[in-house]
Amino acid sequence: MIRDHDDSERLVETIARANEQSNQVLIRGHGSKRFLTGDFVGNALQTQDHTGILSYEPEELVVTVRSGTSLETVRNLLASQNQMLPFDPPSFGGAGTVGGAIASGFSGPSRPWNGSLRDSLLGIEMVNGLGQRLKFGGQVMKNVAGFDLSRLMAGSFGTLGLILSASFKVIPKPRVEISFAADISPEDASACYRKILQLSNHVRGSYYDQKRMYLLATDVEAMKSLDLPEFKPHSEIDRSFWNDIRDHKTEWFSNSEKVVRIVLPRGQQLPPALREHSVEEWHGTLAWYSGNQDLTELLPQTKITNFRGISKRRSLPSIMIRLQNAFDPNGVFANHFVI
Amino acid sequence: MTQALALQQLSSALPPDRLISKEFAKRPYETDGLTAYREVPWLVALPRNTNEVRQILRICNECSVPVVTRGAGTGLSGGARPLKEGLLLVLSRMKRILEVDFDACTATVEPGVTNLSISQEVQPYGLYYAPDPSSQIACSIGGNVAENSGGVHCLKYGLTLHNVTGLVVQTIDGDELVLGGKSYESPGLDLLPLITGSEGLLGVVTQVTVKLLPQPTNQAVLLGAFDSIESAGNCVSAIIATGIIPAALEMMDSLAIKASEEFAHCGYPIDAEAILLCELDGTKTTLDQDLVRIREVLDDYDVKDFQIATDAESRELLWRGRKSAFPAAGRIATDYYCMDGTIPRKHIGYVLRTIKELGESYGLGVANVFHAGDGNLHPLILYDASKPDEIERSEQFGMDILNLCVKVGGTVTGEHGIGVEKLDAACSQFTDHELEQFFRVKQAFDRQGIMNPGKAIPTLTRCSELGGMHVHNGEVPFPEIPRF
Ligand SMILES: Cc1cc2nc3c(=O)[nH]c(=O)nc-3n(C[C@H](O)[C@H](O)[C@H](O)COP(=O)(O)OP(=O)(O)OC[C@H]3O[C@@H](n4cnc5c(N)ncnc54)[C@H](O)[C@@H]3O)c2cc1C
Repeated sequence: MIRDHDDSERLVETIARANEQSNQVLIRGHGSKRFLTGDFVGNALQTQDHTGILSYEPEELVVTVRSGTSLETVRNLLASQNQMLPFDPPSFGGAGTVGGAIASGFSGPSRPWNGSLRDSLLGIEMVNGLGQRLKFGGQVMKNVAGFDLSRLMAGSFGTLGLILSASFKVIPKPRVEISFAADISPEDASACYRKILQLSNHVRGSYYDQKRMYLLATDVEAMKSLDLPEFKPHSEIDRSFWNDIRDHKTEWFSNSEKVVRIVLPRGQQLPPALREHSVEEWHGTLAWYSGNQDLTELLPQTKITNFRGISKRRSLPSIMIRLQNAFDPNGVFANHFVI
Repeated sequence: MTQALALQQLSSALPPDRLISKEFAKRPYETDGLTAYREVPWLVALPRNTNEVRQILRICNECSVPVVTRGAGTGLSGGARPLKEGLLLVLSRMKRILEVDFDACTATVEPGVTNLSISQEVQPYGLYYAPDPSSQIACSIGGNVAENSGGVHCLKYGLTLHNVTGLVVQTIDGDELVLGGKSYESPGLDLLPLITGSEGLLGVVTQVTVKLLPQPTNQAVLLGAFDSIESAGNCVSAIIATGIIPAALEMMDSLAIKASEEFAHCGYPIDAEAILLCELDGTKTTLDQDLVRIREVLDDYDVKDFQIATDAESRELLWRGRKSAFPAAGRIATDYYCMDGTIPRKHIGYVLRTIKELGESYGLGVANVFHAGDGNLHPLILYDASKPDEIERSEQFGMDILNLCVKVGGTVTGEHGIGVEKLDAACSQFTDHELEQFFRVKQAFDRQGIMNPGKAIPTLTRCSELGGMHVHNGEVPFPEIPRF
């Protein structure tokens, strides 16, 4: 049974009161990404009791859930209908709420092909810093009425408002999923990424540890068109292999003292000296780096997130500060950016 | 006078051929695709590069002159309608393809580049740009971004938002925002979805980077004809329920079928009440499996006539009718008014039947040709502008249709935008607090409120004057419709 509990009145009131009394609140889900945000100080406003599925109609390809619902619950519900969240978000430590997934905006291994969390977000209900309950977007696939403020919430780390519920586009699970693997050099890995982009609509994941490359394909025949004879199908590499990468449960993640997340432009990989100390997903555009360098100045314009790292924080461009003020004029939300 | 000062500064900042101030030369710009609304702008500016755009914006900001941006002017909601006292910033001369990066499979282009020319440029390399609005020969990529435009193939390949990876935007306050680029994520807040679909209210898009996809290797188009709109509508949901996502899934009703067949001679069954056009793609094996499965579903819904096209020529023939539906409608009525609501797919049958009944009560014909797979309706209201009250009647009818869309859980615009046309309809979709939030966001980009003012977001006053039309939160109209 999925717990169905509407805690929205308390959440809205707490924010409205904080606004009136010039207090601050810190929005918090399961705390599964606490290692990113640092320990919470101040009045934590917990969403984890605001749970339940508001609607799910498999043939509409849409699910609407309360923000405190665990990702695991949503995954299982969709799996029961042979469907999935296209962006397949990570559950670090096996935990994570829907609200936390939206606020951090992370997407799993299939992101380049299935789109990001933001791409699948159809609508939200939220509370801004004035304690107002607002709805943006909706439950339909196409909607251009008003500014797209729902998708702006993806990756906003609780700085703009508290998410009460969200609607996502869901997709059928692929009928076939088969992993291929081959031992290849970094140069060959880059060449392989190019082929994937130019030739195939049927790859759904890539992982490279600087020695061995793994590809997740949804069509065996389509793999042939890539002309990569060294890649062999491996039926023993199943979904759990990809889920472990997604949730950082692999040896590489447990053994690395430092981990920095870097999103590179399509067609680029880290320079060789850095690449050596990294593993790669998303046809090479998502690098997890475990070396000792501060990358902030080395890679300007690049999104760099310290999971357990040392890269310096950049200051936010002024437009983002003005936007934050547009949602939270009195500075009620004590959350801050981690990027 | 602010205008006089602005003109003086603009004339000295820009080469002479960049400004048009003569009345007759400004005329071609008085309207966009929504031709019922016209206004000759105070001044037309045609910059050739980003630097000129920045100069124009700086001067207009200093002199408080409103700016309306225009791409190709094919918009259907009046978004690029000029203002009498404002400058019309036309980007059609900024049409260079700056870079095609084959390693990244991206193209970086100026905003005035037409949608189709991107695909044409990369076609020899087996690549294409997926979103394909019917206006793709003419509309600009900047306009596509500003409207978050869709097309027939968006069901599988996504809208403009899903296919753009980077934007460069100039705000009227003088900021240059570099968003994304070739990366899937950029630091800080993700402003790309906010700019996409913002109808020129937040800034001017001066550069766009799009994803290029490999062209599908095998394709097939199916046509299924039905005796009733309801069976066709229900069949749409059933197709989606199979777990197959077609590349395109379009529906036409009897009036649209007849008009298109007469126009394009593409072999449509003119006695059908509705047809579905379904395009599938994939490897040979999956395509064959999918064809069999879809055929079964069509049979379950009593398909009367069935055609299948696999070679390029016959596929093109089946699409030709659909693609000429708009000009074809232009031949069966002197004027038509194209609506654009989106609804949950399961309500397609009910909503189409209600629209038909509404049409009868208004005494106006209506043809339907639309993106059924996405639930995005395009009822074409047929009228005759020369008859005294037909414009008003068709607008009232259109408003009823949009309210119906909102009532069944949908939206007043799926891809054409609010513009000036649907300001009233937008009142029924947003509360006062939501509208206030929109205006605060606009202010963060545009302190004076002079970028495309009066478009896309209705003012609170306008909505309160409409009063009775407001659908308030929590109210459930049409209780007979099952809701979730
Ligand atoms: C026959 C026909 C068929 C159509 N079919 C479709 C369809 O299938 N799908 C669909 O989605 N639409 C369709 N449309 C609508 C229209 O073509 C699209 O909305 C298109 O994206 C508009 O592009 P444009 O360059 O003509 O923009 P314009 O009409 O010039 O402008 C549209 C809006 O965008 C803003 N704008 C334009 N360029 C910029 C820029 N560079 N920076 C900031 N703001 C900008 C303008 O201010 C305005 O608000 C159709 C129109 C016609 C006439």
